[in-house]
Amino acid sequence: MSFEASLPLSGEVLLPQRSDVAGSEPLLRKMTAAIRRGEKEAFTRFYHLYSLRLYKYLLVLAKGDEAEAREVLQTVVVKMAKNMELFDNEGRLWSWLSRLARNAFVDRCRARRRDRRFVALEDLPLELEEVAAVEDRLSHCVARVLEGFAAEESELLRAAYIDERPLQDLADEAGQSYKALESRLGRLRRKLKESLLKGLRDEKEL
Amino acid sequence: MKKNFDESKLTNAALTDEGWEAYRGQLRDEGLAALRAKRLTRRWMSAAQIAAMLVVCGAVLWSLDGTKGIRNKQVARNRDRISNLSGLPVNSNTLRAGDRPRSGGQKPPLPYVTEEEMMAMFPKGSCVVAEVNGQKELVFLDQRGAKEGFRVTE
Repeated sequence: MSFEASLPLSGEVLLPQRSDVAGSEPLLRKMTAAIRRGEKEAFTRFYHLYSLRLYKYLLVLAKGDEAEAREVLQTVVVKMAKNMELFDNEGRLWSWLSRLARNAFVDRCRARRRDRRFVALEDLPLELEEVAAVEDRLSHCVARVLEGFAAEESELLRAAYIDERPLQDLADEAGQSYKALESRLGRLRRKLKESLLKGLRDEKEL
Repeated sequence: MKKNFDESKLTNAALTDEGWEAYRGQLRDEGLAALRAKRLTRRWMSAAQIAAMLVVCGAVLWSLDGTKGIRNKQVARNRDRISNLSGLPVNSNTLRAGDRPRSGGQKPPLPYVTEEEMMAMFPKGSCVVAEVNGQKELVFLDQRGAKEGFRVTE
């Protein structure tokens, strides 16, 4: 069964996309049922849709600790493959996935607490925090980080990744070669990522 | 909401570097391996369930067959006992408890007991074969014994 043509390709964004996926509820049901049957195409498609979203969620829980977020994501993906349930509602599916992720993160924190005698207060998981609140925090963090960027950098990032303007147009406007603009965008993305992770690490208020 | 969506696009752009892509591929393979393992486990479970059902069915059939065997053994033992009491061999075609008359085109020979075999079934002197109204009948001398049953001593 191919889900490629029928489901949105960019399921890796946050809350606003929920309505797009909800429009394909029968497909969501088919997809989750296929995963339960052990069909690898369905799992690959599902993974493609939700892995980045889960990673971002875990990144917030782990306060920007990439290594930790990735380790927990590994656990979540394996659990997801083994215990997939049947869903026909995207909201419920995401609620289940985020609970799975949060529980895996809490388990990891508990295991670490057993290993260490003392744990910093801020290491405790965000058990009571709403899923939406966690996702919003990432967006707020990006917005805050962008404020610290030079206006020109911020504009370029927005033009390339939000407005999705062709890079050649942007290169022509900037009077640069395509390659030079591509490298510049690469550097800006790295800078944005570092600032974002640092922003999450430095967040005191959970 | 629109603002969140835009920032989400930027976040995706920032996070999906080469390291992430490589990690994501590796993680997908692990997920697929878990999926395969689960499918295999489920198949084994199904096979085990079928095997268990077959074992149960076999046990039921075996126990039914065993009951029949026990009954046959009991009949044979009773025949031996009668034979021992009378000193005469009991014909294998003799009528047995539970035997029914057969019907059909090719009739097998009807089971019968000879007069001696019939007499041998009861204690000596408890009955005689007498002719009543021109027909042979078994007459019990001890009516009470005939009703309540005779004591059998080996």
